[in-house]
Amino acid sequence: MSQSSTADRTSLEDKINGLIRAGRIGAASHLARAFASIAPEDPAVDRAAAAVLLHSVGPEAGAERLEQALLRRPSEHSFHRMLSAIRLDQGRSTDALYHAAEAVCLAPSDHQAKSLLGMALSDLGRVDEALSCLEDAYASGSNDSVTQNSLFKVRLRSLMMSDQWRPAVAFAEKIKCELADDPTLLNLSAHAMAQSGDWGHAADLWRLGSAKPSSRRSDAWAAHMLICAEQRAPARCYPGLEPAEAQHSNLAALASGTIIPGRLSAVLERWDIGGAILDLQCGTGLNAIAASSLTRTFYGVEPNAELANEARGSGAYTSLDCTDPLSYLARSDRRWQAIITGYLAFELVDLAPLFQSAADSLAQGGVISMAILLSNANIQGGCLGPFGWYEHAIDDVIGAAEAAHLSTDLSAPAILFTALDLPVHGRILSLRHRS
Amino acid sequence: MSDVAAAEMRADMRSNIENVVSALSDAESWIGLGQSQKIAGDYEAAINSYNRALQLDKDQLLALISLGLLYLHKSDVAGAISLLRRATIVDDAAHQAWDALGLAEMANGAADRACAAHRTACALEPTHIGYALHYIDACVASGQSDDLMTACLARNRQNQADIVALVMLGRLVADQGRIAEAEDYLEAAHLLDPSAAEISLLLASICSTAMRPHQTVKYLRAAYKLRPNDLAIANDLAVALSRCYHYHEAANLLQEAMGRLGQTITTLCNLANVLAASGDIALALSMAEKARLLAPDNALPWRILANLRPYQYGASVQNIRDAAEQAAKRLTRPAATKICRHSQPHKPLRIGLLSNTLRTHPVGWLTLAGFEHLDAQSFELHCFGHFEPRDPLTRRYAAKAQAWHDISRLNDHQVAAQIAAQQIDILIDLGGNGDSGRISVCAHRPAPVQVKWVGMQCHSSGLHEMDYFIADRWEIPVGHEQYYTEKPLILNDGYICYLPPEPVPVSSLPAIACGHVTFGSMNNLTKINPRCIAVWACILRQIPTARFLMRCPQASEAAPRRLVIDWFAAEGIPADRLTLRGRASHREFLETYREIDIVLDSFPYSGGLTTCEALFMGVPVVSLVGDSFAARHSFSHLSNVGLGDWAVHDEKSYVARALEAAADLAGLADLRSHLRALMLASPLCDAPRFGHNLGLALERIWADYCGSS
Repeated sequence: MSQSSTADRTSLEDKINGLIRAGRIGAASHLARAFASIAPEDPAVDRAAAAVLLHSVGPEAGAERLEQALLRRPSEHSFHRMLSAIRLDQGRSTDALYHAAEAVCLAPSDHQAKSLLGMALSDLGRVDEALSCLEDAYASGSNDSVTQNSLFKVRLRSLMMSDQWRPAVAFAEKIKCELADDPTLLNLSAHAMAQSGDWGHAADLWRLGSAKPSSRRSDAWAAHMLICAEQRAPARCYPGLEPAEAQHSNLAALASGTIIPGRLSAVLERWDIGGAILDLQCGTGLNAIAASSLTRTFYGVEPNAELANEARGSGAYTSLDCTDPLSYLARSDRRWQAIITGYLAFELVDLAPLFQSAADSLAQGGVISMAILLSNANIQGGCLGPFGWYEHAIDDVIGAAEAAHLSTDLSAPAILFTALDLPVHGRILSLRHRS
Repeated sequence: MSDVAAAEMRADMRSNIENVVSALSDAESWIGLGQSQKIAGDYEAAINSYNRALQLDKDQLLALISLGLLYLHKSDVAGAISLLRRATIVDDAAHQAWDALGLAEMANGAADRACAAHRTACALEPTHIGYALHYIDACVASGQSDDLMTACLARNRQNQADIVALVMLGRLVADQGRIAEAEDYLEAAHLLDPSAAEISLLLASICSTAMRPHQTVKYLRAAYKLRPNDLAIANDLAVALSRCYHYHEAANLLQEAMGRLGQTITTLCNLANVLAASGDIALALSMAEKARLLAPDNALPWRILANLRPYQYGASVQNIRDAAEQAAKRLTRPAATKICRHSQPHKPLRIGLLSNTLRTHPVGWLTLAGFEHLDAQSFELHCFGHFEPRDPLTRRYAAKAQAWHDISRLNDHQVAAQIAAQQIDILIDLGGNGDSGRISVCAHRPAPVQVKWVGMQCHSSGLHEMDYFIADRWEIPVGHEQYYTEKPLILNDGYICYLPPEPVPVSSLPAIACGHVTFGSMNNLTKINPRCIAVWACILRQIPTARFLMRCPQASEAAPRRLVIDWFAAEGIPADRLTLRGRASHREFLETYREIDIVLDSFPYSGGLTTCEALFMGVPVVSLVGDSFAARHSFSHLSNVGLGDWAVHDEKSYVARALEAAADLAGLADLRSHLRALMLASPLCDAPRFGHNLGLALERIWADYCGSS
């Protein structure tokens, strides 16, 4: 590649961001390194490298990269802007405010920086200042949907914080076409609905929100609220499903395949579980992504090398072993606060060895949470179902768990995924070690 | 302009040019002529021109290299090596010469020398991706790929913007099966240099192996845009388009490319395939015949003919067998055919399933239930094919199998070696000559007993190494054995066991609600032909209120839809009596039967899985029985369910049967209400019974083999 022009370099940064958005972190990483070789002095290189680190390792790695870049270029406003966004996601509002203010000071016309400043002010409870900032940012960058959503969030939150529930609900209805992609807006709107007593709508919105992975800790409570809403919401009729199943439908999550990760994450929230979490047969890492939180550290086990590589790329795991899950449990002497698994039970005829090994690996009061496919036949052991996975009778499962000194905390019916265009029924179990 | 006229014109032009050039006396002019002749495909004339250039200047570098490559093309490897070595002596910095020499040494089997030559080419021209890829081939062949990987990683660390290093790493890790990592390297390289067609081609190759046809198309389109004169890319793009069901676009692409760039056996054969899929069997056959005439000893045109003949109205069953035998005769076989013998029969019997379609596919729906009910004490299954862990039927095969052997990156010889190493007793081919079929492996005789079953099982395989052909008394009646090179293995009841899908409700008879009869066809457009349409039109003309509903993937494209409408229009049936629908999910496909009262089967190639699905959805099928195996599928399924009277033996009876059924709505409604139950209770769906019968048949043929050997 010859001497690159500014246009080429801008294009490279865009390409790297495009790869990140597409989840192609590995390719983005290679391209970012290449970018650094081509134009080492360009601040875009630091931004791109930070973006890759953010998505491959975690927010601290991304932030550290930017902090180092700031030492070399203290007047580069884009670094402050990115740092503000990262700190905001981490819930470190004061740091976010500092960096956003620096960015605005260095580049007063940067409406994205103003938008971040507004969000940080809002998080710190300075709502009026936040609204003013956001309105200013929105006016100067009117096509920016991110700023628009930020403004909506702050307005909605300010209405809710002042107990103006009817106006909040009215506002949420007005902006509902904007809600679909923003989990925070979804959650806020759902809360407003719930407070006004419309639990059915609230449940719908929380389901959509919990299906989207988010690193904001403040959004994690939405998963917990979902369970409350489902318990309160009346049954609704969804096309193609029986009314009794309506409470547990989640058409968007079915389409995206994130029902199981969302439900497992909700279990961890329900019991406020933090610490070391083991994700058995973790696949591409959706469970850890859905349940990520500052108080949790995920360790993954995945026997398929390709899936394991993809999971590593997600950055959600502190470590990841490419090995058989049961063998890992048998030889590991670590104790876990929780063991979660989405699909492992589907591949086992007999769940007893899993329960026994898991029980031996749990810390005191630890929890194992898993999805199972249900069989109608009341036979011992699993039977191979039409989708090529093993189904189990619920009594058989509970019995095997009790034999391993695991008591059942939760046994919630769920539609787990679709196969051959049909909903597949199962259960989300939460079993606690009886200490 | 006709082909003959074009050829004459080209010959005239060549003669004129030669007359002019023969008056010249410099080597460069002869080289120029040679280059033109090479581009025109006149290799012998080009060789002559380059030789003339060398007579004038024996150290003419370009002539030495070009001539060397032409000799290589002609498989005169020794000649090529001699010329190319001389070229590297004339100019030791001529990277093209070193690369060409490397290719010649590889053809000579001297991987180490090839490695050295390519290494030199790469050192002289480190940014040349083509040289780098040749170097990788040589290193892999000479067992030096690990060292090369280490060197590439070091090169990447030194300069992370080195595109060639990224490409090499991508290719090396892809060879190791680390597909996601390979894509990461190659995608980064592609974004750094979108003008490098080789990178797009590598990415396309990876996506194709991973069975991601839409992404394959994306990368091949990019490559073709960069190299619009590369017929091989046009060919690959057409194949990828057809895997996305864009047959019409594929056909147009091939025809346009061949018009500009000439024809090859491969492109003609692929054009035949896509034309057949677009509904034009006659033109498809003519393309295949053209390919056959161009290369009479090549197996591919015969393979296409063998696949297409069963679809051809009027083709005799002897024609069909002959085409299959001709194709089989031309397959590559090891010098001495080795028949695997085991010292004593295994208990349980080792059954190998050779197929890349052990998944949600007609092969899956028609064989899985039978395999699942083979006695596990007596039989041990080994699958040889592509493993798709996300597919529910693949998982069921895997749950039953002792082992799964992924053969996607192995050639036929390697697959045969693997099957032999597993000591497979009976190998069952379930792919035939289909797109992803590997029946050619059977020519290597990797198992002592070899059987043909479902999977492009349209008629005899023609392969003399195929011992048996699973069938039933309806498919191969007494007297028809002569049309098969294999011994028919006649099962009690039918030759397949249908695995019903998760139930879609059967509707009440649509004719009662809407006041008119709806006939339907859900078969692939390849099976439909003007004769078929003429007979269907005859039925529709006699019931003026009746409508016709057709669903097939090709109906998603405008041109095939137009073709069907025109066929019907030629028979006096206007478009407003037709409903044409295209691609759909499996469930949607099944739900379409809720709008059909009677299915009219295609002929001469009858429905197979579609007939089973029609019966499952309560819809009876009128079928015309022919002579080939493919012409009797519906006859077998209908008879197995107890509806043999819906299969008739001439067109007049076909029309009469359809009219008779349409006139008795009460009878149709009654049949619809219990047809699913009837089918599920019949031997067509009795998996334990089928498994038992299949097991007995396999044991019998093994006993026969042991007795005879």
